[in-house]
Parts: sequence; structure tokens; C-alpha cells
Amino acid sequence: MSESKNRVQDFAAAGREHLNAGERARAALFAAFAFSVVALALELSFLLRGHRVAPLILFVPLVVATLVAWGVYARFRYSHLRAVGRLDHFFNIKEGLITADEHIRAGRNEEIHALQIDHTARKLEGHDPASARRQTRRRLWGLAGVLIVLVGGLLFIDDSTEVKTVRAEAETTMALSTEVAEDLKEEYERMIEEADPEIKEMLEDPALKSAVEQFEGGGDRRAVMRALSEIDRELAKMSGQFDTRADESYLKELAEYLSEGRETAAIGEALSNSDYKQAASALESMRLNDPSSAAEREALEKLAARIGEAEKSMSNNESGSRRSANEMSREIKKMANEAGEQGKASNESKASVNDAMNKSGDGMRQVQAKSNAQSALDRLRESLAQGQNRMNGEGPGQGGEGQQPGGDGWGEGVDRSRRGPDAESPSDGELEHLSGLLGEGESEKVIEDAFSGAGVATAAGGDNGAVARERQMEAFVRRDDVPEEMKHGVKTYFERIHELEKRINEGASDGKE
Amino acid sequence: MEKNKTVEQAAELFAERFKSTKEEIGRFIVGQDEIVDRVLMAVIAGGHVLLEGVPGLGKTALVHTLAQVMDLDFKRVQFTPDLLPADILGTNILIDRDGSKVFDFQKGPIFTNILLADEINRATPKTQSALLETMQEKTVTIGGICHRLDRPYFVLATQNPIEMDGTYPLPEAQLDRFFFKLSVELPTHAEMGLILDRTTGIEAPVISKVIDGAQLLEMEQVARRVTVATEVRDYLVGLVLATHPDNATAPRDVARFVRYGASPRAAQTLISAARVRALTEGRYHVAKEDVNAVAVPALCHRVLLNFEGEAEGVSTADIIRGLTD
Repeated sequence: MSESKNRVQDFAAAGREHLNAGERARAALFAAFAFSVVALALELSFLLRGHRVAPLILFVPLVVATLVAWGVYARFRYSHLRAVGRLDHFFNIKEGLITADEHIRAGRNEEIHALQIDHTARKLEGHDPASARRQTRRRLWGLAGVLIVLVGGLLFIDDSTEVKTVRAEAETTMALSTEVAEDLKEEYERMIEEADPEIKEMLEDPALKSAVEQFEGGGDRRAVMRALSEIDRELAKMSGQFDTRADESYLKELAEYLSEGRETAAIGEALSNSDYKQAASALESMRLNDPSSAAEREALEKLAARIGEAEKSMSNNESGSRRSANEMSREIKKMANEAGEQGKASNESKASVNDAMNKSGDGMRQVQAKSNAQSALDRLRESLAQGQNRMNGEGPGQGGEGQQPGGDGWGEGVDRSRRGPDAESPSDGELEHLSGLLGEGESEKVIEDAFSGAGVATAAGGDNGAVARERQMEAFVRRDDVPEEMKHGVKTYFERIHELEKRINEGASDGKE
Repeated sequence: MEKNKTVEQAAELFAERFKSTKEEIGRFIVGQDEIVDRVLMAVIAGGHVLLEGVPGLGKTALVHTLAQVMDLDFKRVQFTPDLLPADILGTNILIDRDGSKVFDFQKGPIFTNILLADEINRATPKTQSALLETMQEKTVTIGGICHRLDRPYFVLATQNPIEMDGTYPLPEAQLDRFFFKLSVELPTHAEMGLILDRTTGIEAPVISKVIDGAQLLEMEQVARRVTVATEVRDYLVGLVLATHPDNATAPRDVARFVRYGASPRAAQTLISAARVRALTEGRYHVAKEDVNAVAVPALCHRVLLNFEGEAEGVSTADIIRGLTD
């Protein structure tokens, strides 16, 4: 009995082990297919976009395959009872094994139970429990093997030419942008260090400082160009605050008149040399002493006369320097009239003259300081522009092989006066020679047809100048050869110009009043 | 081990007696192997059998032969509409005993070991019901006195499925008391030739008695010892429950065509019959195939079709076969 019992138990245990081994093999087959399918899907998603497959990505299908294997085995693995049932059915024992196993587990030891176990043990003779093991088809294993080999083979496919190009470009951009960032920071720090104390405060703008410090190198060329444009915008904004062109224009013209007189020659010479600080000192040296001499007053009257002469021939200029010079001239004339009428000038008149002279001198110093600050900013902008050019693949300060705006090629510069028969016009406009407030040159003129239809008449007239500027700006930013990242800067530039023009116009109208 | 040998010998003896009884019956009854097997199973398990078939198929002959091979008392009652319960059970009659008049119980034909209830569906329900107590409790109660019937006791009834005029279909309660209901089919060409040879010649086969009542009861006891695994038992219970249209496990055909399913008595019948069959197959445990083999005769008269099932001509045997593996 115990021998039969052992035989039945051993058969059941061995059978269960073989059955579970079969299920493990099945789970492995499922896992192999899951791995192959998921891995192939992932690999194709990389390869179809031109990228080589990173081997680490296979960790994902590996996890999926592990989960599938575990799930399949957990679902189909044989418990003792299930294994006994399966073995009984497989060997056609007709529930003999199930019954015998139940007798053994329940410890039944009656005659009929022993007989039944013996009978079952005899039935099991000649049966190999290993034959009950699930046989997975070799063809399926072969297919899984082929898929896995395919997965492995796809790992060796390299990046496409396009991807390599993009990657190389990103690396170049990263290196270049890092270099540009370092240069820019260096230039900014140098600008701050070298700045005079009076303009240092002006230059230490928090927004500019933050933009420069936050600019880092990157692989995305567009992002780098956007960051550079942002810094350029900040610089343009600051530069607009330090604009001294109107003052300098006036002072340059005034210098010609002042250089003609002996008494004012020093001032004129300093102004013609753009040495406004020296000019301010020379002007302040002409202040009236107490008591003032006749020579001093005469010199001042001649100064006023020169300013008056300059005023007669002066074109439209609404600078602060002109206003302060005229103020000073008026005060001198007032003092001279007072002296002519009363024999001598009052102390108040003298004081007013001296104040006006001081004010004018301060103005000149201010112009000097602003001019210096703007020069510093210009240097920084130049450095920035060089950085932008480098990012665009151009040489410093040169055009980019005819592809970028501002030049026709390396060392070619821009010459719109001549255009070859095969040269493409950047726009549909016609070239027109224009004279502007601050200069003159070639520009493009576009005549657009208005839409036909019913219009609405209004009493208020449109700002034709603003419309024209808007069109000019839009025509520029719509050009295909202007990089996107530069368009914002260009737009801002136009807006600044417009604001400056507006301020100048407002200043002129104030002067007239 | 000696004790095991005894049980083993008893089992071998069981198989031997079953075989010899069957062979002896086969000396007269041609073919009908399955019917003979099942009748013997029912008899060994102590059950009653309802044999159904058209006239002339040898139902009565089978029962006669069975009575001949078994050394048991045999009675036959021809059921007719005018048959009364007392005609079967017996009655008290007034007799003169030692000068005084006393009632004496005169036993009816039911007091036997083998009762052939021929054409049972021709008797009235009242008379049919007279068999209820005897079939279940194997006792007869008359005039307040309970009379025990001799063991073994089994009823072998026949009924004709055609000629339904003047018949009284057996009530469900009585049908349930039959262990098996067996349909006797028409013999094949060869079998019919043999039947003619054996029954129309000068020499009739001599049937010997090969088994007596005690041996039959012993076989019943041996069969009861056959083991049933929990899985097989659960399978059997599931099979019975699946015959009920309201049960969740009932298949679509059962839910659609069945009015009432089998009773727990059916499950008892199934397990008893399966045990006997297992022993005849040389096993000491019941297999699912044993259950499946006896499912149709054990359940077909206990599963009642509804109107739709009747109208569609659905066979209960087909429904039961559909429930087995």
C-alpha cells in the first residue's frame, strides 16, 4: 500500500513539475513574443524618424516581457489539484489518480481505499509523467528567435544622414553659443568696469544684466537666436535712452560758428572735436566774475551773437542743447540790453546768465556722458551682432553667403544701386531714393491696390506716416530671407525709431508753442 | 493485506456474477446488451426499472428471463383499468379459525422478490399509487398493520408508448421512484433472425439460476463501498442541478425547454448506478464516464419538458447528453 501510495505521490509530484516546466516554457515564449513586438515597435519608431536605437530603450520591452511571463505563468501554472486532474485526463486514468490522490491526502486507509490506490498505481505503470508536459511548437520558438535576432540587428542601424547633420549642427550651435555667451558676458563686464562713474549707473540696467547673465549656450539655434534678440532688444531700448544725435548735430553746427570768433574759438574747437566735456569747461570759463569786466560781457555778447547766427541757418532740431544754448543766448542778450539801457547789468541778470551757462555746460557734459554710454553700448551691440553672425555661420561683421539680410556674400556688402539680371529682388517693391531726418538712401516703394467696395468716411484723418512705417516694417519682416529669430528685433527696432521720431516731433511742437 | 484480498475477491466475485448473469440472460435474450446491463445495474442497486417500448420487443421476456436466472420469487401482474389496489397488495378476509371468525390477511402478488408490473400505465392512478409505498419503503400497510416485503424486492414495470387511449400516465411521484427508465429499441436484422431461431424452433434454451437473493444483496453491499472522489461527486451534483431551468449553470436548452429538473433522489440513483458500473468495469472508484453512462436512463424520466419542449419534439435524452462532458 505504502509503495503504491508513494508511486502515486511521486507520479503526481513529477507530473506537476513537468507540467509547470511546460507552462514556464509557454510563459517564456509569450514573453519572447511580447519583447519582440514591443521592441520592434519602439525601434521602428526611432528608425523611421532617422535615429539610431538606443540600447537602453530595450529596457522597456524587457519589463513588459517580464510582466507578461509572470502573468502567463501565474495564470496557467498548475496547482497540485489541477496537475493531478490534468495528469489523470492526459493518461486516461478515468479519475483514478484524482481519487487516489484524495484518499492519500485525506489519510483514508480502509481496504477499498488501499485497493483503489493499488489499482491506480498499476494503471500508472508505463506512463512517463514527462510526456504530459505541454509541447510548444518549434516553429513558434523559431519565429520568436527570428524576431529577437531582428530586434538585435536593428540596434546596429546608424543615424540617418539628416539626423547626423542635425546633431552636428546642434553640437556646433552649442559650442558656438557657449562661446558667444562667454564673450558677451565678458564684454558686458568689461563695459561696466571701464565705464566712468557717471555712466556706470546708467549702464547697470537690471533687465539687461539679467538677460546677459541668463543667456547660456544651447543646442537649439532658434532658442539661442531668440535669446540674443532679447538681449539686443534690451540694448536697443537702452541705446534709445542715450540717443544724442540731435544734440550732437546741433552742437556740430554750432561749432562751425563758434570757431569763427576769437572769444569762442576754444568752445568751437572742442565741440568740433566732439569733446563736449572740454567745451563745457571752456564755456564755464567764460562765466561772469563779480565784478564782471567789460571784456567778459563782450565775449559773452559775441557768444550770443554766434549762437544767434547759428540759429538762423539751423535746420529743424529740437535738441536739449539747442534749447539751453538759446536760453543762454537770450539771457546774455537780456543782460546786454539791460546794461545798454541802465549803464550796467544787474546782479540778477548776471546770475541768470551764469546759471544759463552752467545749465548749458551741464547739458554738454550730459551729452558727453550719454555719448560715452552709447559708445559702450554700441561696442556691446557690436559684440552681440558678431555673436549673432557667428551663430548664423557668418564671419564677424560680414554677410552670410548671400543668404542673410544685410549683405550679398562674404565681403560683398550691399549695393542696391546695381542689380544683376539674375538677382532676385527681396520684395516686389520698387527702389526709390528717399531723404530722411537722419540720413538718406535707397528704399523700397510698394504701391498696393485698395480693396474695392463701400467705404466709411470719417472726419478724422489717418496717420499716413505711421501707416507707411507699418507697411515698411511688415514688408521687411515678411521677407523669407529674414530669420524668424531676428524679426522680433527688427520689429522692435522700427518701433523704437518711431517712438524717437514721435518724441522729436513732440519736442518741436513744444518749442514752437 | 489479507483484508484487502477479501475486498478484492468480493469485487472480483461481483464482476464474475454480473458477467455470468448477463451471459445466462443472453442465452435467451438476443441483443439488448445495454438494456440488460442497465436492468442488472438497477437490480443490484436495489432499484426499480420502467421498461418502455412498443409491443413485441421482448420487455416481458426480459423480465421473465431475469426471474429465471435469479433464484427469487417472481410474480406478474397485468395492469388493467379495472385492477384494484387490493388485487395487488392483498386483503383481509374473514375466516373460520378454531370455531371463531377472524380476519386473515391474504397477501397479494406484491409479496414477492421480483414483480413484473406489465403495462403499468393501463391501471388507474389509484392502483398505480398502491405501488408507491412498496417501491420506496418496501413495506405494505393494510388495516393499520405494516407488512415488510422480502429482500431483495424490485419492480420491473413495462409500458407502451403508443396506444395511449385508456391509459393513465404515471404521476411524477411514481416516475421518480423508478431507478431507471429504459427504452427498448427494435432489434437489428441479425438479432431478429436469432430471435426467430431461438423462439420458434423445437428446442428452447434452458435457463439456469446463477444467482440468489443473498448474493444479490451482497453485490449491493460491495457496490456501496466503491469510492467517489469529491471532484466526481461535484460533477454529478452539478449535472443534476443543471437540469433545473432556474439554476445558474443550466444551459440554454434546459432553460428553454425544461419545466422541472431532476430531484436529489436522481442524484442518489446516479451515484448508486455509477458505483455498480465502476465495479463492472474493474475499478474501485467512480469515474465521470460512469456517471455519464447512466445519466440518460437515470434522469430522462425525471426531467420534465415544458410546453415548448413538447411542441418542438425535444428529447430529454438529448438534453441530458448535452449536459454531460
